[in-house]
Formats: sequence, structure tokens, C-alpha cells
Amino acid sequence: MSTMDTLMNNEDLVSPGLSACQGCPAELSLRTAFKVLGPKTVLGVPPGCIAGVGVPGWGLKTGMKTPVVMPLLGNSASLMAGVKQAYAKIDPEVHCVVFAGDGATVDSGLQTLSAAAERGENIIYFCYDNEGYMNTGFQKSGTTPHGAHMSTSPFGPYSRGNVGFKKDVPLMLATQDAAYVATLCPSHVQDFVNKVQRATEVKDGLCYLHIMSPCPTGWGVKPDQSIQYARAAVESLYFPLFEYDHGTFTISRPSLRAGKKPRPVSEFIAGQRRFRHLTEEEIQQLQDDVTRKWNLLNKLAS
Amino acid sequence: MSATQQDVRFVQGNEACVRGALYAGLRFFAGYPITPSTEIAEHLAENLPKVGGTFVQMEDEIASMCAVCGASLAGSKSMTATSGPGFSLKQEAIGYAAMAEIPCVVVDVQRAGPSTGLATKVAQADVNQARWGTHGEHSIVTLTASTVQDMFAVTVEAFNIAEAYRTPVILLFDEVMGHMRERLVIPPAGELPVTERLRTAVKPGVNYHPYLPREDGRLPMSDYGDIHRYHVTGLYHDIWGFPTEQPEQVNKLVHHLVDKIEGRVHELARWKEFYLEDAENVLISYGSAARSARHLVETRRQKGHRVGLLELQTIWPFPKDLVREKTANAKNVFVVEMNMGQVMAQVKQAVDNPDHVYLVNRVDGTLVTPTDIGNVMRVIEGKGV
Repeated sequence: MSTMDTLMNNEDLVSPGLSACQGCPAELSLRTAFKVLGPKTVLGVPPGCIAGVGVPGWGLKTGMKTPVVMPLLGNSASLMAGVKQAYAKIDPEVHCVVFAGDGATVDSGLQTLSAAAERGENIIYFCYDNEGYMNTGFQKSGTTPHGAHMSTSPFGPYSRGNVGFKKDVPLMLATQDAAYVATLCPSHVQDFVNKVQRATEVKDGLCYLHIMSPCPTGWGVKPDQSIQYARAAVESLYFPLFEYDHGTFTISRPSLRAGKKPRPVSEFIAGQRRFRHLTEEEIQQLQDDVTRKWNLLNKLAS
Repeated sequence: MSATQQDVRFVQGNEACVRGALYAGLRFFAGYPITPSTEIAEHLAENLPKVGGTFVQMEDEIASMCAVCGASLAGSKSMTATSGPGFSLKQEAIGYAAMAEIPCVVVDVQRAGPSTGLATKVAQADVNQARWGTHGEHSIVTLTASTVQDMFAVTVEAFNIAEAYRTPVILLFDEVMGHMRERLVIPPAGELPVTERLRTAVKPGVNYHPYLPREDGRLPMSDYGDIHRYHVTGLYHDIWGFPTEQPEQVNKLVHHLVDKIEGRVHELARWKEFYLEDAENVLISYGSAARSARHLVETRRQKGHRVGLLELQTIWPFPKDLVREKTANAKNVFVVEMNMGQVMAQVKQAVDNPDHVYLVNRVDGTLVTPTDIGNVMRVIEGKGV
């Protein structure tokens, strides 16, 4: 089935009317992913933005047309591994899926995620990465980029935003031999759909799909610009799209195209409130980091 | 200092806690975002660097507590802040701090639980967890407050107690206290006593025993990694800090860990009392619930009712003698709290007539009100529902 057919014909399994903050692409990503995953899916959503907007249901309203379980913040991978182990005996075709934010994935959930990959648990783990703990007021997380002003990494006379650099969990999981790892972006839907499709076909281990998810409220951009920023993240190579499939790295087509004549990272940074204090040198530092990562990825994929 | 020069602010309880911690000399904070305590981390992220301190956001709650243990051992006054789910995760490391006698302060801004519970709603159900959350025999100090000004003061106290007795101290606040804004007057430096760390006088090259108490029971510390080499472990250990399984040494350490706190119940007891002299009905409360209790007492006193309030600021070690003494002449005792009677159970053990101890509670995520208290009192006094 082509991407258009998938998106047009398959049922939207997220309840109608459910919406996140204005311009949040995480909701779009969830809807898109579930059109591919289909109704035979069990979803685990730990506390975070997507749980906060009511995907597990709230009051008498359901958030999804599939079963949803809400694990604890830091152990979705183990809880869903248990669900999958039980389902393996009932119906192995059921997809056991986690849809977690970056805080629940790369910070407190990394231990259980890494262990699930090591054990070869056949779950599909989505991380929507908005680069911070956004639903509790924009605290920094492990994926917050260097220099970003967040409520726990403020810019001021005594500090200059986040000290660390964005933690690269997709590469981490690829190098520890998860079955399938991919980076996805809601600005490149065809690539997005293909990768989710591929994840549903993998039956011999953990699939990890890392979605770039600009947060208009937290990043300080207009709600109607979130997809533009998502696109800029890909085209500036800030967020390269790639796949790791059972030992082989492949750079995805949108990033291959972008790699020929990448936009400068400064175009991705421009207009974001969290970056507005950055100096030329700091922007250059981010650019150098992006270039270094891109070169590394090219070596891995060659 | 004249009134115009006073440092007066209108702040949330969480910020008052931050100001108290800085007043007491906090220099290291490690934390993880969790409602309703996050403002403590946010204010410290901004303010700790100003005084040369260090703020670190860790990858989870366990890591935060462990970093606090490490920083404190190395010589910094250290603190972490969390709420129920994070408090559960920290428990093993709190046990480590109790065992290795590492001074530190752990703030728990309580929300309704268990588990994720009600992330933004009030409860006071971590009272027993503060005491018994970590496994094994130990004792611990837990303080509460019912005004923003008191939150400042008990935070300073918490650091003093932690440093004096080399113990973790739990600050058990709650969502209402953490988020409520009130006037805070920050006293000038020196007005409130601040206990500095007791460091050993033992010179470099001379044997230093990190776990050999002085005559007064205090253990002088040496900044870890500085001039003395010594061992720190969560295993039972001897005066050198080396692991031991010798029954007499294990026995001695258990008693030391318990006695250094339980033997100082009177010294550690902090409380406030209102109209207790002639009270027939005594309310016992703490934290935000004590505000409702106090309101009821004030309004009933205006009508001539003989009702009084004992507000506990120290919950652990539980001041049994104090409670018995203050309720000696009471007909009825009402414990006002937002759990299923965790402090009431202690009060029942403390008083001479436990049958006349009643619970006024609310466990629905909302604040217990003066009306709730009045309703229970009416029933007990036989005035109908």
C-alpha cells in the first residue's frame, strides 16, 4: 500500500477531538503511526505530554480506539515487554507499542529500554522528542540541545543555558544491536510511514523509532511553524534521518538529499526563543557538533 | 535592621524552602523535575550559581539522591527535592545516607498517591514512608510547616539537624504549602542559628576514625578525598568505616543509628500551640491541614468554645511525651490530616485515653476544611450530624 493509501484508507485510531497544545506535532505523529500500526495494537503511554493530553483517556472519554496502559515514568519498556511476552502466547500478531517522551526515554527510562533491546523484546518503542520535560514547564532533559534556555538550565548572568549536548539514543541503541532503529520526522511523512511499516514487520527484537517533535510552547515558536522547524531540523542535518536494520546503517533519502547542500544550523535556531541568547561562537559550536555527528553517521552508513 | 530594610517577599512555599536552604548554607542540589516540587529545582537552578553553589539536574530520582550523598560526603551542604513517586525511588539511597551517616536534606512536597496518583493535588500520606520507607532498622528526622514563613525556618532547622547528627532529614511539605503564596520575611544573616559541619581536628597522616563518636555523640567529618583516607559503605561497618559482620559491632551500630535520634526526641521536638491551656477539645495537625484547624480554633474561640490546637512541626521522631502532656486535660482529641490516620495512630499510642482520639481527614485530593473538622466535632459532641 502506498503512503497516500495508508493515510487515506486506514482508520484513525486516535479518538476524534483529542488534541495537544496548538501546533504540537506529537499528536500528528501518533495518529500517523497508528494508521500504519493498525487496530491490533496495545499502547503504553508513560506520564508526559501525550499522556497529559488524554491519550490514556480521561473521565469517561477514551483517548484511543486501542487498549492503552499507562506505565510509570521510567519503565515503559519493561512493562510493555511483559505485555508482549503475555501476548506472544495469545496472539503474536499484536503490536505492543510504547509512545513515550524524551524524558521518559533517554533519562529515567534508558535503563529499561536498553535492557529490553538487549533481551530482544519484540516491542515497538516510539520516542517523541520535544527536547525537554515540556508538560511540567520546560525543564531540560537529556535531549535538550547545548545552550538552550530551559527552566532548570536558565540563561542568566551566572549560567548560559544547557551545559550538555543532545544525547543520541538512536545511535546508542543501534550500536548495542537493537533489531531496528530509525529516526523519523513529521515533516517527511512518506519516510515516516515507511519506517513504521518496517517496524511492524520486525519480529526478532526491539524496534526503536525516535521522532523529532518541535514544541511550539517550549521552544518559543509560533504554533503554525512547528512543521517548518521540523523540516529545518532535517535539512540542516541537526536531526538526520537514518535507519539501522539488523546491522546495517542507511541514511534515509530526505537526509541524503539534505546532505548534498545542508542548510546552516543557524536557520534551524533562528526565531526560537530558547536559543535567542546564543552568540556566534555558541551557534558555531552547535554547527560543529552537527557536522561531526553527520560525518560519523556517513562513516557508519558507508 | 529597620522595617524598610527588611527583605520581604511574596513567594510560594517552594521558594521559601529555597531561601531557607540558601540561608542555611546549601551549596549542592541535585534533582529531577516532578510536580509539585519542581519550583524548588527551578529556583535553585537560577540562584545556586549566584552563591558559588552547584545545581545539577540528574537523569532520575535515584541518581539525584545518590549525587546528594556524594556531594555531602565531599563537604557541601546538600539537598534534593521531590514528590511521592520520586520519594519512593529515593528510598534505597536515603537508607544509604542513614547507614553511612551522611548529612543531607530531602524535601518531599507530598501529592496524592500511591503511584502517579494525583500529580497536582494535595495529600499528607507519606508520613509513614518518611519514617519507614527504606528497609532496615534506622531512625530519621521529619519536619513539617504550615506557613510559608515556617517553611523557611524549618528548612534552616533541617540543615542544622542534618549537620549536627549526621543524618538525612526529611522535609515533609505538601502541594498546598509548596504552591501557596504568602509573605516571607527573610531574617538577616546571623539571626537564625546555622549549624556548620563539624570537621575533625585530626591532622593529615594521623589516624582518623570517621565513625567513632565523640563524648557528646557527634561524629566529626573529614571532607571525602581531602586530607584523610577512609572507607564509606552501606554495609555494617566499624569505626574505620570498613565492612564488618562482627555481631557486637553490628549491634552497636544499629543502636547508635536509632539512639542518636530517638534519644533526642525532646531536643528535636518543634511545635506550635494555640489556646491549649484550658482546651477541652484539642486538635492535633500539621502542614496545610493545620491551617484549617487553626481557622476553626480561632473562630470557635470567638464564640467562647474551649478548643485548642497543637501543631506538630516535628513528626519523626514522634514527640509522644509532648502530645501526652498537651492533651492531658482534653476531653477529646481530633487529629486533622490528609491521610487515613497515619499520625492519628501515633497519637493514640501517646495519649492516656486512645478511645477519645478521633480522625478528621480528607483523602480526595482537596484540602481538609474547617467545616470538615466542625462536622466531626459536632458528631462527637453529640450535637447531631
